[in-house]
Amino acid sequence: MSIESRIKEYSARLDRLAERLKDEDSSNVNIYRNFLTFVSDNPDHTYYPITKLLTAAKCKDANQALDVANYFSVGRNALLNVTFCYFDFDGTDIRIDRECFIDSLNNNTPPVEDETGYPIDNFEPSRLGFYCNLISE
Amino acid sequence: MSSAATVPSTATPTKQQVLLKGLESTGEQSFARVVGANYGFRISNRWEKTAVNIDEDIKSTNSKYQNCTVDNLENLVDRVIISANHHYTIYKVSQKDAIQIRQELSALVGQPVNNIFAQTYPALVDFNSVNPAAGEYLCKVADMGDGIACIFASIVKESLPGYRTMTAGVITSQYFHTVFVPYAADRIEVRITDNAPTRYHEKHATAIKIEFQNIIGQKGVHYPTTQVNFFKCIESYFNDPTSGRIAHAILTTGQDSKDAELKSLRSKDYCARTQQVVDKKNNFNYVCRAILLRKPYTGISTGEMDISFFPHKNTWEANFCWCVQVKKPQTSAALNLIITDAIARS
Repeated sequence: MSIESRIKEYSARLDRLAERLKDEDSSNVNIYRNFLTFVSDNPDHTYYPITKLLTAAKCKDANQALDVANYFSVGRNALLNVTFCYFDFDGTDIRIDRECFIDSLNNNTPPVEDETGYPIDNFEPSRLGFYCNLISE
Repeated sequence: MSSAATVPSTATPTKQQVLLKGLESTGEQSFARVVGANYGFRISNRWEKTAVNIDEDIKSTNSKYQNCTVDNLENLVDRVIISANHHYTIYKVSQKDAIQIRQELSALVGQPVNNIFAQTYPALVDFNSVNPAAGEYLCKVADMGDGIACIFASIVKESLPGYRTMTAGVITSQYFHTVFVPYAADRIEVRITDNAPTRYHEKHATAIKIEFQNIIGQKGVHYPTTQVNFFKCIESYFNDPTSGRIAHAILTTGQDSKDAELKSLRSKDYCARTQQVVDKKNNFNYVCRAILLRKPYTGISTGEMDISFFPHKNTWEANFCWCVQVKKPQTSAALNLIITDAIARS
């Protein structure tokens, strides 16, 4: 499915979401729309680290950026592929799965490295993060 | 580092022997040669030979070796330990605070420190005979002429791979880190040795800084500091051909995260600025996100100093770079210029 069709589909989903939330707080709908607009304006931009999600969706913190990443990465015809990582001291990315990431974020405990199944040694919470790639096929 | 390079407990070694033992355990033969040249010490191409040379140099009555004294050997060893290859995190302090910090440190120079690491310094402690807790231990406060160095031992205990659930595979190791306070600049340099595994660098840097603050602030005074963010240095050095040749650079595009590594560590005159990277698909602009500069020694010495800024991609994307690595600075003055220049561009 092309990016254009995925964007169109998400746009329709957002309209329905906005309709449902019309009497409630819809700030999330706004940041989702911001992000969708950015992607349709810049279809060549295929990489979205946290800092770029912040500017593209005009959100105010990493939690909102995570929310954007989640919204656009789950379900059928998702727009983003999210990679959860521990950004290790030596410059490498250690892959962790979504569940371990959420666990670690909520409890401030070392996440389990997907490759080895061991908890990360010397865990430094600020090094927990993610990045997204646009799904283009 | 293994526990093999330690002082035998049977006979009391001389100061010279302890210094040589400590120098050898740094594993910094070629840098010791650079520093040794300042005093006239003949650092050879193997440690056994160096020990013989230095003994002769010290005993010699030839005026050529007049600076070859045990005291200068001590300076040499300290210099190697505090500046061979380190990651620097820098904190700016106010002029008023810097004066006070130097005053408090001066009072500690040469004072005996009561722990096994200080007593064994610069040699390493034999962990077969003692089993200290992991942590930071002050070893020495030394006046280096251009500033005061607080040398700490960081003790690490970690399991061998596969032994994480057993106590048998726990390895204890010791690394020397330094906090340096220059006389001529109002800053605190936390220097983490590259001998320590990378994943301990930040942890040690934080722990050493706290230890240092405890030492200078015995009365509970903690000086406000501002940590230097070197992010802007990366682009600044990349665009400034006078700043040294670029032996290794990583360029990237913000739009699709395509990295281009420009690198030649084997050619002495390579510079990444001679190469251009073009994105043929979208014509995205490449920007430098990590850089290794090499600057030649001055005078008759041949060799180069390494200055590098290699933040994690994720850190760089957030516009941060919290440390600079310097390898083999020719002199303390040259090192000071490197740090001062980096701060000016930050």
